[in-house]
Amino acid sequence: MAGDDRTALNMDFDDLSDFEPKAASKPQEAVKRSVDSVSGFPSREASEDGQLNMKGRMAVLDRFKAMCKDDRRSYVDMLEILMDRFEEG
Amino acid sequence: MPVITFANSKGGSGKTTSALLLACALSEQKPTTIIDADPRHPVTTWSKMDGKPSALTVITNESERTILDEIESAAAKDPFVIIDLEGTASRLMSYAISQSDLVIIPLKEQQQDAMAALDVIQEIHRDMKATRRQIPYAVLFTQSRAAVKSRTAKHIASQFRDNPKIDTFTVEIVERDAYAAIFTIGGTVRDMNPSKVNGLENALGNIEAFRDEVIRKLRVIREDAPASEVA
Repeated sequence: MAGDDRTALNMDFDDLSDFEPKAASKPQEAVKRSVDSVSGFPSREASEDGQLNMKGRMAVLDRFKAMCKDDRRSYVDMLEILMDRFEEG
Repeated sequence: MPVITFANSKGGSGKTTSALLLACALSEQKPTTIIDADPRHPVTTWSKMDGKPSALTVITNESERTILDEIESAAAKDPFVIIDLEGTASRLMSYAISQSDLVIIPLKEQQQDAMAALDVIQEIHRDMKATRRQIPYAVLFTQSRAAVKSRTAKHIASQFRDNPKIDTFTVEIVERDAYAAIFTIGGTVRDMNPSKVNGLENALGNIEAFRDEVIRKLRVIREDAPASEVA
């Protein structure tokens, strides 16, 4: 209507040029923390941790444990280091 | 701007079908990404068949830990990002909701779907508190009968439609052969052979009406948003 301040409705469904990609807004860890603090829905994520039992000569096991202790590393960390070295040849 | 999440904590409510129909329809006009966050990966499976539109990117979600990253990169690349979720109440769903400009809650006109939809609405309200912003949402009836509705269907639908606090799509995703066919044939409804699929024209009309109502809602949401939130 002439002289009307009301903006016209955008009824154009073929031209969607008013929609553009957007840049990131908030840091993700902050988003996660705030959602975690209120969410009523639980995590369904399977844990990435597993367990391994080893049986073998006491001397070898003691050597491995001593190695970890000396280097202040968990068993799994030391195992990974040893495997990486082994693969490097 | 828009990240659109399809969420209902009950399976079989029509999330994947309606998400994919919208994604394909939007990609006809603008580059669109759909994030497949259902561990059964139905959209990823569909995308490996022939006929995926070139303007549509399919991202397969890795885990709850990666979803925010995936949404952020998709939204920086494409104007439209669609997220299809698993039919489970999960923290992954909450993370996706927290990043959404519109949450669409698909449901069949059945009590179980309706109750799950209400759980999702409650979770959206909790996520609004967490993000300190409005997260618009709307209920979408799916798999509805084009002809006569049962009394139960009418009873369920009216409780949502008559509730002024809950936005409900006028359009319904009607039960159609073409919608089931996209998952067995691949490609989009638009590219289907009319001699192989019944009611193709009605299906295309239904999809177009759905896409137009989504666009209309997104424009209203943008108008209503405080200046700081407008992308």
